[in-house]
Amino acid sequence: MAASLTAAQPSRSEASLARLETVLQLLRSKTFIAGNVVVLWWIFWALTGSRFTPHDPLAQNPLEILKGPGAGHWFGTDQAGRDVLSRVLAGARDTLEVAPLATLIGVVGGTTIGLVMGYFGGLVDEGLGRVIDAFLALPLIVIAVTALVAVGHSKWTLIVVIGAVFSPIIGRTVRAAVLGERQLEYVQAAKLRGEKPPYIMFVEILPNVVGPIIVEGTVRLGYAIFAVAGLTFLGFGVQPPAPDWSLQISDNYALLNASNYEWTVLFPGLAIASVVVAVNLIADGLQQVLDR
Amino acid sequence: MSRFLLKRFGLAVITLFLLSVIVFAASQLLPGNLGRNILGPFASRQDVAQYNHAHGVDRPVVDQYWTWISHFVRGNLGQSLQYNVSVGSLLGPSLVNSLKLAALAFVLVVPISILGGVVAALRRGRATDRVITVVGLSLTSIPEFVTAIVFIVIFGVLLKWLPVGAAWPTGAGFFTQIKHLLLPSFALVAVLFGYIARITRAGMIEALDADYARTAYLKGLPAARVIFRHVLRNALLPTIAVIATQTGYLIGGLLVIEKLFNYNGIGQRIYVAAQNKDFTMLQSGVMIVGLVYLSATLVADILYSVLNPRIRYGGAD
Amino acid sequence: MNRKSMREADELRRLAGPIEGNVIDELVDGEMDRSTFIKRASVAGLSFASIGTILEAFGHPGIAHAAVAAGKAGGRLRLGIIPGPARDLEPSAFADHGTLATGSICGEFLTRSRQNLTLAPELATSWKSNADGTQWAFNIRKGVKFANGQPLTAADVVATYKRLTDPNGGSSALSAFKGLLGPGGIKAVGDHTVVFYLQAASASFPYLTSNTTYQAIILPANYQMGTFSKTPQTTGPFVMTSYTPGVGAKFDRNPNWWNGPALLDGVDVTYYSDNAAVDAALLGGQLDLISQVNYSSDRPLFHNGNVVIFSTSGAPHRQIAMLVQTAAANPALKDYRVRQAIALAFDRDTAVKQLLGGYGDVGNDSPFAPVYPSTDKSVPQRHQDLAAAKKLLQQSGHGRGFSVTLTTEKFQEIPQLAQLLAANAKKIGVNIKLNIITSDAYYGGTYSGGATGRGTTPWLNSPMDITDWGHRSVPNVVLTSAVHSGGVWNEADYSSKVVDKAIADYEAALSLKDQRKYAKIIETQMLHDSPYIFPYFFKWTQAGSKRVKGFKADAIGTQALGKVSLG
Repeated sequence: MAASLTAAQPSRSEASLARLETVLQLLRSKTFIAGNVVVLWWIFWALTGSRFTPHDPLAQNPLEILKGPGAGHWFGTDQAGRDVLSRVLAGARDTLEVAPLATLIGVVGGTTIGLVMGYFGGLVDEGLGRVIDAFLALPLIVIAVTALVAVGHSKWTLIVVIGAVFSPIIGRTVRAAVLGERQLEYVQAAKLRGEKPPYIMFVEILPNVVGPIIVEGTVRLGYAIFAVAGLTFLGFGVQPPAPDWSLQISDNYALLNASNYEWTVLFPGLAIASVVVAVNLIADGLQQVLDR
Repeated sequence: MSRFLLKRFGLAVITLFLLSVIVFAASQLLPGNLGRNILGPFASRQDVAQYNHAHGVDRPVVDQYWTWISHFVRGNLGQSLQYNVSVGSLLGPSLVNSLKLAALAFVLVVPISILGGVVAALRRGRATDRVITVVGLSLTSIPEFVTAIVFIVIFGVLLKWLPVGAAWPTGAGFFTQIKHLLLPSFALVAVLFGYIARITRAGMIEALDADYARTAYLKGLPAARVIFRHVLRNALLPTIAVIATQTGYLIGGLLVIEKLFNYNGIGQRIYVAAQNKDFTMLQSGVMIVGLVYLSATLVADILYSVLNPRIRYGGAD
Repeated sequence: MNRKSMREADELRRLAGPIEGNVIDELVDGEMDRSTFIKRASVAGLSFASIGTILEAFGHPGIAHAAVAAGKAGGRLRLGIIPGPARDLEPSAFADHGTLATGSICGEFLTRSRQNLTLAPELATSWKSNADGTQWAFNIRKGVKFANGQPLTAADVVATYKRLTDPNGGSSALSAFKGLLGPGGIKAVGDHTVVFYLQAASASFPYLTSNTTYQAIILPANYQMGTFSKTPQTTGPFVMTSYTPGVGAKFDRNPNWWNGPALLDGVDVTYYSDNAAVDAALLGGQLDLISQVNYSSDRPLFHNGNVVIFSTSGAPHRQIAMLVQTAAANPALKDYRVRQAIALAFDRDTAVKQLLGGYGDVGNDSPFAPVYPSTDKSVPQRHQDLAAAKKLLQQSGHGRGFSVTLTTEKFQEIPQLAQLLAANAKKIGVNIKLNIITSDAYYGGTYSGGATGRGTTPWLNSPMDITDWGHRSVPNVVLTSAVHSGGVWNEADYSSKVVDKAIADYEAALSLKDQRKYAKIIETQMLHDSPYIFPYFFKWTQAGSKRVKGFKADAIGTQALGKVSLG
């Protein structure tokens, strides 16, 4: 019975077995699990927003300005008397909205660029490669600042700009992976069948390079969080009174000179760090399992 | 070797040309009318037209590009629209400042992080490795502005050990300049340490596991000799590439650090130029940053090939 | 009242021009208190000696000749200017704090507006108007030299003012002199007298020759525009010796200073763009003085035992505008009762305490700041009154509340003010949504044309907005540009025939009594119509180390360091 089933659908069950194996390996990876727990925690707060926060993250209380951490306000209050804990929790939304969307754009753009470069090779590869080199000679933040000043800054420009900068970077990784696939039998077979290049690229090759793309995407997500934080800190991106983490830091870091009030900066800073660490842990776990 | 160099150099020139086109095209994208932006909303239409004509922005785009790039190549960067002085006189000192900060950061971070990576690799899986990896990851995961703020408050304001501003008084000597640059350098070391150490550790482990290292051990060569003669040389190859790519970040990408430490670096100049729509300064500033980065990667490429004979003869990629 | 001083006062009264005469009369009539008298008399051109005589004659304590404690000479003051100049250092085009603060270290004006809005002589020794206040003659100080040794004459003053009033010269002072003074109205009489022929009567014209018009630094007649940052020729206590855009400037003591020599050897200026960086530099001992600090952005400097806050009352303020008519206006806000309700819901006392740390005076929804002598203080002060606000909303038919978007700039405490206003408005059911953008974006766009004739700029075309306004020694500019129906900066698109007429009358009024009369009309009508909420007027604050002695902040942000020393 089992044998006949296997015989009937050999490839699919093999594939699903392999997939199951991958998932099991991932679940055995402590770093992967730890990273996911932290990210899921923040996703929960991103989704619920201010619904479950102890206080309204935007509610000002002129009578409770810059109260240190204690009962009532575990993380203290900021200059406007707002509850820092609530703002840190609710601030997950801004970070988890902008960075992943930007990364997604980068992954989609980069995958396309990489497939085209890797599949066609030759002059296309060489030409695009030069343009990418030229583009990447500039630091992300310089490109982003210039673009944001040019187009005017909003959350969406920020997302698109970072996505656009990431595309060529991810494109390079994908290209390398595609180069390895190009000479394989199934690609040659598809060519012989007379399939069109877009079909071969996206239907035949793409599923086989998903691993490196996921790993690269996760690594980029960490950088995206960083880039968004830096740009928001400079005043681009999300605007007050949003409880964004970098915004909280940029609003309050001048206070540190008074050598107290550190909670207004410390907790949002730790929040950013926790997400970046978690994403890196996930990337590590994925890399160990998928790159094999 | 010379053919390889020639090819690398030729490619760099092509990339440079493409970069200049990208930079120029991007600054054309900046919306609005140059004269209107500079003269303000109350200026008359004739004045705006006159200003635009005087600055040549009403000419064909290809023409403008040629004028800009031919002047740029000859070192004439034009007049800053914002400050009404030559761009070169502003960007020159800023570039020197950026190079100084980058140099100090490199001098500090490269040995520390390579040492960290090597030690972690040699003690793979043990407590030392864990500590180095975790510290590196944590430091790398905290945005540089947070680290910088913490350093300023602790070492500058509370302990008063180091000056909080990176700008030194005019005429300051070498050591005073270093003293002023230490705090911002520390912030950069914190960001880069984890990254470089991690790459070094990975390269080391790969090299330690490689056949030649095993062979060398089996031949009974002393461990130190194996590590220094055979392993390190190969393990550091990826590290060199990584360090080269960080030059772009260190020169031009530091505007957050430069802002926090009130340092007149090229990133700060670009940032201010972008905000005030100072096109001439923006174009040249961005171009210089690209130039420095491409030079650094070229040098790294050459270094890479010198250390790695396989690349030297096999062609790039 | 002794007879001798009585006689002297009478003499002065007889010699005095009509405007000075009015001022003296009002003191005699008991309409002015002592400090107001000093302010007004100084503007009218009475010397401080005469003012003292008159005060003593009428039983007021004279002006104490506070002995200026001679500070220790020597040392270089390290001044942090934040933000640094955004433009070329060209005095006639000064338009931002960085340029004016830098220029004011070496430059001088005809007169100087002091902390209490009295006007002191500087490069002019005295000034006097004709009977109707349309001509003002200024006597120029003798023996003043520019940095290169060239003596100051009336021709230099005439050239400077012609540059400032030239309609095609790119001057930023044009708006201040608009309708008052043109290049043709400035004449030298001899070597040391300049007469200004005004296009309209103005009792407050001398203020425009002070540091209030910070572009009006007196420069040599042969000055070439655009050369200030390279070869600056000024008359002040210091000479600029180097200037690097975006980085800093250096000043050395001017050996030829007429009022000097300055106590300091020099001033080293560093430009900053980041509040935390400049605060840290002061606290870390790398700076002696900061050109401006703000309670909301530099809180660690306030209530700090090692830092001295230099402050002065002034009229810099915020204006919360509610568009009253155009197409962009919120339908509910077209009703004055709704605007009144929002103004009544706003808790201005808390705003002053929390946002300014007490360094400010509450506003009463008109440009008449408490510091102005012409302000009629009998007009009742508006305070938060939620019950009254709710009732007004009911009456207007918006009892169930409504939503409106408020657009403003990310600048100093403004975002917090916006949040406080939104929180207050929520209590009466008005939902204010905030759109906080950069200053660049807020003031960007066109200022004329389009469907409404108001262009596209957010600050003139948002149903609600908050704008920052600088200090003025008299409320005239705010009245004509933001309150008058024809004003170019009339954010609320406010138009009231009563107020328009009262503004014209106010500007023409020569006596304080008349000015107050029209001020009262404007204040009362603006409280009724409530096109704007004036939440507060700032005190200007600067911070320095305890070593800085003899420094007086002024509300414009000019840095007068000639008499400052480092203890």
